[in-house]
Amino acid sequence: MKYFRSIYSFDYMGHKKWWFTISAIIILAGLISLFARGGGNPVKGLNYGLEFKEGTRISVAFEKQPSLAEVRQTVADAGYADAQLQETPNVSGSNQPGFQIQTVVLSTTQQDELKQALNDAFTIATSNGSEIFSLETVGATFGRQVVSSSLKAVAIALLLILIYVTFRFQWKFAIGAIAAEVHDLLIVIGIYSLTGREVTTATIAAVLTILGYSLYDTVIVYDRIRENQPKLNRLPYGDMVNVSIWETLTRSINTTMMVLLPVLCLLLFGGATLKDFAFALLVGILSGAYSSIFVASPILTVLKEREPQNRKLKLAARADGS
Amino acid sequence: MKKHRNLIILLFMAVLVAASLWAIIPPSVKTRLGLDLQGGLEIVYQAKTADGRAPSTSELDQTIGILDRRVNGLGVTESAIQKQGTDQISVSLPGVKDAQQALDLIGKTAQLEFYKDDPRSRPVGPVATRDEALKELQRQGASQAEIDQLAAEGNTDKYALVVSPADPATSQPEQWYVFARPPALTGEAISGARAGFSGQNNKPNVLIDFTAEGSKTFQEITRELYRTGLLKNTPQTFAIVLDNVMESDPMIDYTDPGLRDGISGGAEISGGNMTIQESKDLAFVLKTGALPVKLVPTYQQQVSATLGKDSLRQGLIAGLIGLGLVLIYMLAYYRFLGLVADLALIVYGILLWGLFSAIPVTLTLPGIAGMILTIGVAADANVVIFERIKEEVRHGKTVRSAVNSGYARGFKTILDANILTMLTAAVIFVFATASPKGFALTLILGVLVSMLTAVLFTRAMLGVLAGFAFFSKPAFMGVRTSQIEAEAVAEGRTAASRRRRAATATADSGDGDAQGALVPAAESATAAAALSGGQSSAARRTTSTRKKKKRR
Repeated sequence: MKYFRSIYSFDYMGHKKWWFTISAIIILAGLISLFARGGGNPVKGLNYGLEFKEGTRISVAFEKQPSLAEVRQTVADAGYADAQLQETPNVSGSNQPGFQIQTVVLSTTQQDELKQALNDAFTIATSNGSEIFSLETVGATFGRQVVSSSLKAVAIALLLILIYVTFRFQWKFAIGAIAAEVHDLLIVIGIYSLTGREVTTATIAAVLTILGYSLYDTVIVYDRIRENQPKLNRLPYGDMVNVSIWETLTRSINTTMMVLLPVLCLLLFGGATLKDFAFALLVGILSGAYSSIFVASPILTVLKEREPQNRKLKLAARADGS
Repeated sequence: MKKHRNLIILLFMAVLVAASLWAIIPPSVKTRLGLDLQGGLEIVYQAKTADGRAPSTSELDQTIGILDRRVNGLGVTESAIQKQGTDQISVSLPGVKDAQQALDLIGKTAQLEFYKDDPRSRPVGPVATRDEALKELQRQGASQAEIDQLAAEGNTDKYALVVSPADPATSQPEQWYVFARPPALTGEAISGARAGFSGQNNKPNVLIDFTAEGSKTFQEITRELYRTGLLKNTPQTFAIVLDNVMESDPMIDYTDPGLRDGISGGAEISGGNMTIQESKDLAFVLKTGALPVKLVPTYQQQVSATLGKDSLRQGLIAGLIGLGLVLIYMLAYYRFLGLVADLALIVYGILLWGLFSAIPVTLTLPGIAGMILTIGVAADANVVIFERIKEEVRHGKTVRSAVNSGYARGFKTILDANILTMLTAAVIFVFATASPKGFALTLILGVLVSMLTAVLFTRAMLGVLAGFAFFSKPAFMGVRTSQIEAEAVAEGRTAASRRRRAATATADSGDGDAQGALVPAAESATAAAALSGGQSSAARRTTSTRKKKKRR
């Protein structure tokens, strides 16, 4: 409890360099992984899901679970020797073991033929009268469109955030907020590259959401800074920011907890797609909470301490100290 | 007056909750589920025009109209056909039973064309392979660009590459043709189509009815073919081509004088070995009209009903547990205020669900994730306000005035934070593709509703409850009396010591102390003023409450 209390009086702004170093190390690790996995091309350093690749993916369960080799043989006999097969413990939540088969793009006739071949060989399992068989096909243009539209969305969202924060606060606040955003994005991307987790459209949606939500804590701190500034104008800027952080720390922790609890539930109890969302959200929310105190506020302080009157206050405080 | 306002707000919320419940119940009927939750088929098509240019908006809209008619014919309810970007169309068919049939029907261009089968209209064919057909056309002097486009698209302004599929019944092999555009007649001349049986061999066929003008043209063509046949002493044929496939090539019998004036009325497509279902499908597609563009599927997802149901169940379980945890956390941390917030959260859940049932929004898996996230966002608003209230109480304000300033000041923060969340969600909604869209929409709606419940509703609740005596006890806010003393009475000292630790200045520097002490002194002065002012107003209020009680 004693240690816990000390977070309410810690000199956050005095240790700016530490925070910048820690963030830089984490981001650098992510970037290195991106470049290493992508063979020099960072765009390729992520494990993209089927939605971004050309192909057809079939999830299927059979009445009696055959061996992987048997299924592979059947699929090869049907003319798809290059297909990638994977055994799954439960076919997308159906509690039945089954297989995931990924082939080149199949036409509807080919889909039907392959399904028929599988059914003839092993009999596709049914549940409540419907077959446990799902299928997804992606053409080459689809993934490209998802990525390009998402990048556009990120750029426009950042621009709007920049404008809004400048309008409501000041451009120096906006720079801090944008830095925190980019920090959060890079961390999420880095972690996806490091862990090799599959990037799906759900991931992209979650990452885009983080963009909006991760500013929640930053706005809380900024708001207090704006309020404290006229009251504590005799304090060096960094100290005033410290006071603002102490005063809003409980609500920053609690707001983060409020969102973290449901997201954790999604991660634990949701199906495959929901887990994808939840993981990206989890990383983004934690990173967003961290960056409000350790990225946005320090950058704001650095920018503000360059202003003449703040520099004077800082110098005066330093002179007192010596 | 103020009290009245609060009651009116509460009444308004009660009406909203009632309306929502009415919209929700029974949920199994009234909640529209996306195909990822109830199973079904989703296809994204890339639209391409015959000559390879980007499709225009009107062409896309026309295509969507035709697709809509085709989908309705399938008997799929709650289908959604949407434009995506500038040249894509997504079709979602929740609960569709026969995915194969749906795919066959929907994406067919259904470009029906009639060509006269003479050397002028048919520069190439029949030849055995596609390459041969292309090579032959090139030999006849067609440009390389023309050949390339024909190979890629199957059509150019001048030519159409047509295949006549192998017919096992007559053991006739596959044959390729190139026809010269424009065709003698197009699908625009059709007024109707129906499945039937051929009079000759009793096989399934499709009968085509022409419009008045189409009928005239068709009669002219057949009359001309009859005469040519008579002149050359060989029977002439014409080709009925659907989407670059020759469906049939009827022969005009020049020995039959009954055909002297051409064929009036209708035509018949009786290609090869149509099944009854195929003839019905073809008639249906022809009836709904040809698409002005060619549709190439770029994404296709087929979800089984079981998978959908599982996803829904898991999503609901996760959402309920998440909601439960948030409720417990709020209650444990904010005590009485937490109870009010919990009530607001439950109201929030009902309103959001009600909204989703009332407006034509389909609930998808990403939508569920968005909903669950907004539970947290809704609770966030209360955390911000309640922390503010606690802070004000610790500074010595009465609970009631703390509530007032807590809402006034907290609201500004919440507004900024929520606007930023909604801004990004709106950007996602406009720019992103299907799956993130559903997520963004829920997020926007959720944040809006949360402003209603977490701010307006809780404020009105607290405003009404403020009339009760127990309300004035800080403990109900989760604030200990000792904290108030520590903060309010020794405000200056605490702040000064904090500041001393913050400023790296040493404690015994007199100048630094004075500087640090200046502000807290002013602060504690206002706090003291608030304390005394607050107390007197609290006293006043207690008496007024008593008066009211007496009156009752």
